[in-house]
Amino acid sequence: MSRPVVEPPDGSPAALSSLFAVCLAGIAWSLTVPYSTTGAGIATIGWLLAALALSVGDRRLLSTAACGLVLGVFVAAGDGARSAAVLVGVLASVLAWDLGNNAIGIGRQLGRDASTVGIELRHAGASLAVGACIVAIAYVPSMLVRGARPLVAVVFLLVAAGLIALAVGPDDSLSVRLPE
Amino acid sequence: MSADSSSTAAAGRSNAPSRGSDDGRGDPPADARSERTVPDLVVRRVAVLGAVVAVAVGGGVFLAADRLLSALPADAVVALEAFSRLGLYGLLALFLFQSYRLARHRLAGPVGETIPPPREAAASVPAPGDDLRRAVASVRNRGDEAYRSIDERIERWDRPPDDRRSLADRLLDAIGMEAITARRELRRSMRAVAEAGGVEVDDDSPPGRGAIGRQEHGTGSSADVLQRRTGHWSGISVLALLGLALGVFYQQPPVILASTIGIGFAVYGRIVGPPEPDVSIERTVTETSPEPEAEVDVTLTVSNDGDRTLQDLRIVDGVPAELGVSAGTPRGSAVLEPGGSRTIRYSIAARRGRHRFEPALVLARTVTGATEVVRRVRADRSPTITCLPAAKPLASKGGQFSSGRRAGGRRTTAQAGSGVEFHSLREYHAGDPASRIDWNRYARSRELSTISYHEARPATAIVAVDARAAAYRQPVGPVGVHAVDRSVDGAATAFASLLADGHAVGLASIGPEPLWLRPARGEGHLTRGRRLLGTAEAVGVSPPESTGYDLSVLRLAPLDAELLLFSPLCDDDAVAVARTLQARGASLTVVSPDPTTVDGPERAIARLERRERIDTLRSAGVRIVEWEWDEPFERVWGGR
Repeated sequence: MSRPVVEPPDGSPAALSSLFAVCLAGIAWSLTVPYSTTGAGIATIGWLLAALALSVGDRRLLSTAACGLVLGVFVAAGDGARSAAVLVGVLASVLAWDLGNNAIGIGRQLGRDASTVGIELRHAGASLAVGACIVAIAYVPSMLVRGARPLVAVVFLLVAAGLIALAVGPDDSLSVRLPE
Repeated sequence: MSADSSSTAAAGRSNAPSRGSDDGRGDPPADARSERTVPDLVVRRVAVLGAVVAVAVGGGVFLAADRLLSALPADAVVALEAFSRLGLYGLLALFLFQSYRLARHRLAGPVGETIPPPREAAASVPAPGDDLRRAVASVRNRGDEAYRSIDERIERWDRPPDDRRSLADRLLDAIGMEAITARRELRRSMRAVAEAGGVEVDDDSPPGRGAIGRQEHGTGSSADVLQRRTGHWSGISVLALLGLALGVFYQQPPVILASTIGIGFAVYGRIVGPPEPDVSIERTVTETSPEPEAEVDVTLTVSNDGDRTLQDLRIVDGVPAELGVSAGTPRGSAVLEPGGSRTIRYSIAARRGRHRFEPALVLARTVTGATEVVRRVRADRSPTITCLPAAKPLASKGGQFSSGRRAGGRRTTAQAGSGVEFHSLREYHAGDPASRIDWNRYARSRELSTISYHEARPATAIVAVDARAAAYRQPVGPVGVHAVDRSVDGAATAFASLLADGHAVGLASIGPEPLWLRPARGEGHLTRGRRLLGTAEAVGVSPPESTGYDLSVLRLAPLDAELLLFSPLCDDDAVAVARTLQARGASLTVVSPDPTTVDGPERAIARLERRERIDTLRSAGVRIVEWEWDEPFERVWGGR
C-alpha cells in the first residue's frame, strides 16, 4: 500500500551558493595567511564554521563564522596587511555570509530538488558587482589622498560615516525609549 | 564644534536602551509607551542630518585647516582637539554599543522569510497509539492526572511490578527528574503488558507527521499579498560600526577603510524598492478523473505579466492538501523578464475524492534579498481532480459475510421452493420441474418424488463505513492511506459485488454527518454508490472536525437487512457502535482493516487494545472479519 513519496525540503542549503560561499570564505582565509598567524588561526575557525553552517543550514552559525573571518582579516591588518588585501578579505567574508544566507533561504523555501541556479547566479552576480564597486569607491580615493591630513577633518568624516552606518541599520533598531 | 556636539547628542539618544523597539514591526508601539518613545524614523533622520553637518564641517576644516588654525588662539586649538578627541571616543563607544545590539538582534531574531507549507506530503492522520504517546509525553510526575489514567489503563491487564528499578532510574529520581522516570516507567510497563499479551514491540519510531492532528496547508497568513523585509542584510552595519571603532582605537587605517564595505552593503540592502510581482499562473493535468493510485502529471506555467523583470521569483504550487507528490517537485524558481514564463512539472498520486488545487504561493524577492513579497495566486484555469474508488465486483464467494447466505450468493428463506439447500421431500405433482425429481429415490423404489429446497431470494444488505474521527488512523510512516480509505475501498468492492449478485444494497456511514443511500439494485445504483463513496464529505479523505457520531440513518434500513460494517476498531466507541447495531437485531458483520503497528510500547498497547475489542465483540456474537493492512480485499471477501 505504500506509495512513492517526495519528501518536502529538509532545509539543506542550495548547493551552488553554498559552494560559492565556502570558496569566498577560503579567499578571505587565504588573505590572512601571509600576514598573521593569529589572524589566520581565527580565520581558519571561521572557514570551518562556515562549511559546517552550510552543511547543516544554520544561519546563526554562519553569522558567527563570518565574524570569525572578518576578525581574522582585521587582525591581519593589525599585523601589517595592506589596504587592498584587507578590503578584499572583508568583502569576501561579507559575500560568503550573503551567499550562504541566500543558500539557506533557498534551501528552506524550495529545497534542493527545485532548479534554483538562475536566481542563485543573479543574486551572487549582483552582490559581487556591488561589492566590487564599494571596494573601488573606498580604495581609489584612499590612494589619492596621501600625506598629512588634519586630524579634526578625519574625525568629522569618521563621525559622518558612523552616523550613516547607524542610519542605514535595520528597521526599528533605532527607536529610543526615553527615561521617565 | 557645535555641529559635532549636536550629532553626539543625537547619537547618544539613539543608543539609549530601547526595549520597546522589538515588538510591533512597523507599527507604533501601543498606548502610553508611544509618548516616551522616540520613533525609529526620527532618530534615523537626525543621524543623517548629523552626518551631513559633520561632512560639511569636516570638509571645511579639510580645505581651510591652516587658515582656521592660524585664526584661532593656541589655547582654543588645544581645547578643541581635547574635546573633539573626547567626543570621538564617546561616539565610538556608542557605536560599539549599537553594534552589540544589532548583532544580538541578528543572532536572536530569525530572518523574516516565508517558509512554504510542506505541500509534497498528503495531509496524514495519527497512527493508533499516538494519543497515548502524547499522554505519556505530558506526564510531569507520578501524581499527574495523565500518569494515573494511563496507569489505570495498564492495570486492566495486570500491571507488572516496578520493583526492579534500574540504577539510572533511581539516579534520575534522586536528582529530581521524576518526569523522566515516570515516563520511562509507564513505557516499560506498557512494553511488558504488550509482550505478555503476545504483541512484540519493535524499536521506537517518532510519531508520523500526522501525529499532531490535522495538517495546516496555509501560508500562515490569510492575506493574499504580504510584503516584508527579510532582514537579509540586517547586522551588516555591525561591520561598519565595529570597523570604525576598532580602526580608530588600534589606529589601523585599512580597518577603517574596510568598514565602508559594511556601510555600502547596508545602503545596498535598503535602496532597492520592493518588487511588484504581476504574475499569472495556468495549470494543466494529464487526467481529471484518474483511477486510484494512478499518477497524474501536473504542469504549472507562471508568466510575468508586469513590465519589470522579476529578479528572484520562487514558486510553490498549491498541491491539493490530500494528495501527495509522487515525482518531481512542485517548487521552482525563475528570473522572469517581462512577458517571460516558466514551467514546473511534477506528478501527484491520485487518491479517492474530489480535489481542488489551492492558490500557488509566489515569493518575489529583490535581487538584494532584503524584501520579499508573498502572493497567493489563483490559476486562471485549474482543473479539479475527481477520483472514484474502483468498485470491481468480485466473484460471489462472500460466504463468510452472512450466516444466511450460501454459495449462490442469495439469502435462503424458510419457505420451500427452488434453491440449493435441502428443505423437504414430497410426492410428485404433474408439472414439477424434472430437475427437482429425486432420481436416486426413483431408482430405488420407482416412485417419483420432488425435492423442495429452501427458497433463495435476493437479500437486502447495507454496507456501512465507520468514518468517525477516531477511525482516521494509519500505520506509522509515509503511507498516505488511512483506515477509512481502506474501509471505503473495501466497501466499494463489497457494494459492487453484492449488487452483481442481485441483492439490493444500500450505503451508510457512521460519523457526525452520516451518508445514506437507500438499498436498491441496478447499474445506475452502482454508479451512484461509487460516486458517493468517492466524493461524499461524510467519508472524505480528511477526518471530520467533530468527534461525535450519529446512528440515526441506520434506522432507515429495513429490519431484515444484513449489515456489513467496515471499522478499524481503534477506539472503544467502535465497540459501542457495533453492539448498538447488533442490539437492533441486524445481522452484523464487521470487517476490520488493521492499521496498528508495534513500533513503540504505546502503539503496541493500541494493537493489544484492538485485539481485546475484537475478542469482546466476538464473545458477544458479532462476526468479525480481520483484514490485515497488506492483504488485498479479494482474499478477505473470498474467505481465507
